[in-house]
Amino acid sequence: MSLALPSGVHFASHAEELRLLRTRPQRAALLLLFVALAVFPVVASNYLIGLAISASITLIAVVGLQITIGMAGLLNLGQSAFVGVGAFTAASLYANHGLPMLPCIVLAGLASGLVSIFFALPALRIKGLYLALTTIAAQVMFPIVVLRLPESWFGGAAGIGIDQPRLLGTAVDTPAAFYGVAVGVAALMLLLAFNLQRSHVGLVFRALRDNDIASSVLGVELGRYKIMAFFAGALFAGVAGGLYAFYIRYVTTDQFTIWLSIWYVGMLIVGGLGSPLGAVFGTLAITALQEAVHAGGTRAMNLLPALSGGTIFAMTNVLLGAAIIFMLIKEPHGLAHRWRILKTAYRIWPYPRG
Amino acid sequence: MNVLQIAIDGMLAGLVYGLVALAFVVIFRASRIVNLAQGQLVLVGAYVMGTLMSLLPLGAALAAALAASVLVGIVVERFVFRPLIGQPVFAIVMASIGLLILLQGLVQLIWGAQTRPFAQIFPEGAWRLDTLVINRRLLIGALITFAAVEALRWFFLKTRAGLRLAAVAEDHYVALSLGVSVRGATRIAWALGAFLSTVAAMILLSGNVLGLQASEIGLRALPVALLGGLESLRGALLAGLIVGLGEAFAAQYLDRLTEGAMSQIFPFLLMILVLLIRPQGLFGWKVIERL
Amino acid sequence: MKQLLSRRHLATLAAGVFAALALGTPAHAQTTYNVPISLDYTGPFANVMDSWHAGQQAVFDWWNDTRGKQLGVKLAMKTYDMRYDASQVARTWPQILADDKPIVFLGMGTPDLVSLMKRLPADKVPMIMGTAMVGPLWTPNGWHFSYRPTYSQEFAGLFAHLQKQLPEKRALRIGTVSTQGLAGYVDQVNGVVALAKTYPDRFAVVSSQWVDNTPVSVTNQIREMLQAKPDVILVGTNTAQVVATLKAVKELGANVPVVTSSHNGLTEVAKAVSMEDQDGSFSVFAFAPSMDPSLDQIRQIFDKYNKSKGTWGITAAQTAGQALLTVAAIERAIAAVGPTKLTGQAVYDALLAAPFGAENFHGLIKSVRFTKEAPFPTEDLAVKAVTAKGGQLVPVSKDWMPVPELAKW
Repeated sequence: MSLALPSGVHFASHAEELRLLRTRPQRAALLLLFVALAVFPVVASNYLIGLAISASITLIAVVGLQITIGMAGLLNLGQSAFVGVGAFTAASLYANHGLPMLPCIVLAGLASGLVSIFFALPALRIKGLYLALTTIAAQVMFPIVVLRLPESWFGGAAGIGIDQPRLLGTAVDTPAAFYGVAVGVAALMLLLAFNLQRSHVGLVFRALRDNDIASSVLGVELGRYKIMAFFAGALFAGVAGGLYAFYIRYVTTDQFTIWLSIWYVGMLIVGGLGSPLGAVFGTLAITALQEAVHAGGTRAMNLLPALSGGTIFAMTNVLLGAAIIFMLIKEPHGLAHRWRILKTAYRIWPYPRG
Repeated sequence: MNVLQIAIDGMLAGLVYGLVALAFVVIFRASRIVNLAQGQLVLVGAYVMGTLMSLLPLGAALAAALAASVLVGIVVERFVFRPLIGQPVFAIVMASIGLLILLQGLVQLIWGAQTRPFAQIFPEGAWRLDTLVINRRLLIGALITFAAVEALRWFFLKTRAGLRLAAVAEDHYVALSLGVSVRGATRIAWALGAFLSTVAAMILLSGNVLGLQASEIGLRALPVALLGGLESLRGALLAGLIVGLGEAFAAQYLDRLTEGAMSQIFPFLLMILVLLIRPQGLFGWKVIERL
Repeated sequence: MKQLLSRRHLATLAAGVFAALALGTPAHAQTTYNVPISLDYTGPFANVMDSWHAGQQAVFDWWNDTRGKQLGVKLAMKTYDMRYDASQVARTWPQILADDKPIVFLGMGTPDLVSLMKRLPADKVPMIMGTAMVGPLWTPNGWHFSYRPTYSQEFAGLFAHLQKQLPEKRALRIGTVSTQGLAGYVDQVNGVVALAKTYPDRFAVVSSQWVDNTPVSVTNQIREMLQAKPDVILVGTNTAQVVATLKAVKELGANVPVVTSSHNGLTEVAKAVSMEDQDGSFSVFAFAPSMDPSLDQIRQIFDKYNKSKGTWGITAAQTAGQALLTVAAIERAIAAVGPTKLTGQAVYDALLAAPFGAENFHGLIKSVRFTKEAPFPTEDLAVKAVTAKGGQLVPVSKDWMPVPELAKW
């Protein structure tokens, strides 16, 4: 049994140390979180539930990005394209081939992962920023290729529509119902990400990020693991895309742009690259920021008619950009790091957390 | 089909990419900062120039715009990148992503989303040489680009100040330990980079419509810079020529087979291919990594 | 004191109050219905929202003031900033359904269509759009409607007109400029290609060039296109491409007119290329251009009821047409079910019941007839166009130009 003492948390065995929930307060907190998530759709307005759904979908994509960028140190600027691949795959499988919803989402993730391997192959020879280029290429090529493929595959220029998402026979088109699906999938993917981080593969990723030459000297097959890192990231993106397809119920290539890819990276930076928790913080913080700016801005517009709407849209960009730069200068490890410091300070109070 | 004509038009267009890529390379060459926000620098330069041109006569407006761009560069360096001196390349790339989002939003905040006319700085139309038609604006732009490359090469390779910058481009800490001012270097880098971006804006937008999408050129310029090699000035130019040629010929011969898809994708495919053979780009410094 | 407030006194007092109230209220009780409107105040189209909403707001206020008062119905506009983002529409729609109980929804663009196309038949609220459609959204049995057909059909109307004016009896040679990777842009060209296949003796697509979304120079592509000797060049995408095309044409010493749509029309282009240099080029769309003399009446309505900073122009004309169609449908629904029983279903049925004559639209739109096959009228379509002549923008013809019948491509 692990002991939480002011001098730190003490473990009796290595297995205990590896656990995700190490102390009793942590387990209690998680339970409370689940209860809160379950109660949320009952008390919140439809708009807020919709917001939570969008946030969950974005969260999955950003967590995937954290695996590629944060765990393995490979810059991926085309995550939105992989989300798009997943979305189109899921929509096509559901609408054109009649597969049930959950397998569609799973296959969407796999499809996205496979596509990413093609763009990750140069990783065997190319490093660092040059590798980011291939991800930008993926982002640019995505709409062109999808539009040119036969209509029976991905709808061509028309896009694909989903009539009614059905999960295990029941329709899930009400906000509360879809919320359950989205949050459930997001929780599952987060668990996978945390597990990945503490697994053997996760350790190899960390070695890759810190110094890939040293790790190759130590016997790590660089190429294989780099491709694996991309695959994992794209898998998450594909799952996010699948959920997105069932939520919006119509996918077109215009919904997946490089600007979105850049925003995902921005969210990750603000939240903290080091762990999937950073992805959670980043997504929540930036979504909250966006909504606050829009709500405040709309109110301001009603009070001051001279203020134009274009200002508000621009404001979200300005604030996000400023937030990223600020975080990088002041707290390069992101909000997740601040959270860890807060927890430690709480645990060892009244001792200073020096 | 006059192959030479296609080649000329392709190269002239490619040299505009080359100029923006040159700005990118200058910043990297002088301070080891990867600036993904290059397109946004062009955007800022264009909008500042647009505003100044409606207030001042053309010549004065150009000079003022260039001076303002230098100022913008210095401000960006001081507040965004100076605090990050010594940080790994990764963090700096992230910061430039933040800068990208910030500048795009700032331009829309200050000037609004409406498109506006951009004055004509360079003569319109084309010169005719035999049967060849050469676009005036782009040719002047090409000459400016060539002149800029040679001037920059002289600066970086023949002057003391420029040579010191090579140390900064290799490693911030080593340069500091040798007494080279990294701050000064970054300042010069950004001033030059912003200056060149504004020049590129002038060529790109002369007599055109100015809108927020002017920053899209950055997306084209980044692969060009990588193809040429991040540290090579002439490399950026050459890569621009190659990409321009590639695009033109792909549009000519491959588009009819793929219904237009190839000319958009071709530059990226070309770059990936070259990078697979030469991972540091055509003329980039080959970095010997040590444990 | 108690005698003053005896029960009988109270009863009389109450009766008196009631009588006063009854006499004081208008003869018809007014029922208010909500009309949610999708706008984009904080997204990419924020800069045109003032004029965009002005067209809608002026028409609704006018209708409430005149016809609405007579029929006992008030239409309350509820604007929603959808940020031109499909997820925002998806998030907000359940709220709109629950809070507003709308009878009709005024959509703005593709994000509304994409999010709501599949939901509207179940939710039973019709959506009336304000922009032209694209081919992929030509689906049957939808609850979304637009008085504008697809962009390709609008172009076809002008092409038919131009082809008739050719000196010889031959097909009109059309060159297209567009961008790969953007579904709407690609679809425009697909539609025109289908047009040429349907009427090979009248139209021929002689060259299709693909350029960057914001191109540095399109001289190479235009040179290639000029080899095929087109009579017109279609650039229905964005202003930057029109500007680049016009410059390339001039640079190559040619004189081929360019055809554009409403969003990238000649006034936008005039910011970079003077009207003189655009001489002979066209903008075509399925509503009357704002300077058309037949629009005096609607212009007066607009000037009288416009409260915002928006101005009368192509944007306001377009949305005024959208609003006019909406109130015409609502009027017909009132005639069918009465002023107190309006529902989304009633408005939907009204839209499909019969054609709407041109008198409903004060010259903005020709008559329209909706069927279940398409979200827009497929028969009897007509367009109007403007052209640059002598440095001015003038209408191409006084009458509506018919659009050749085109099947779904």
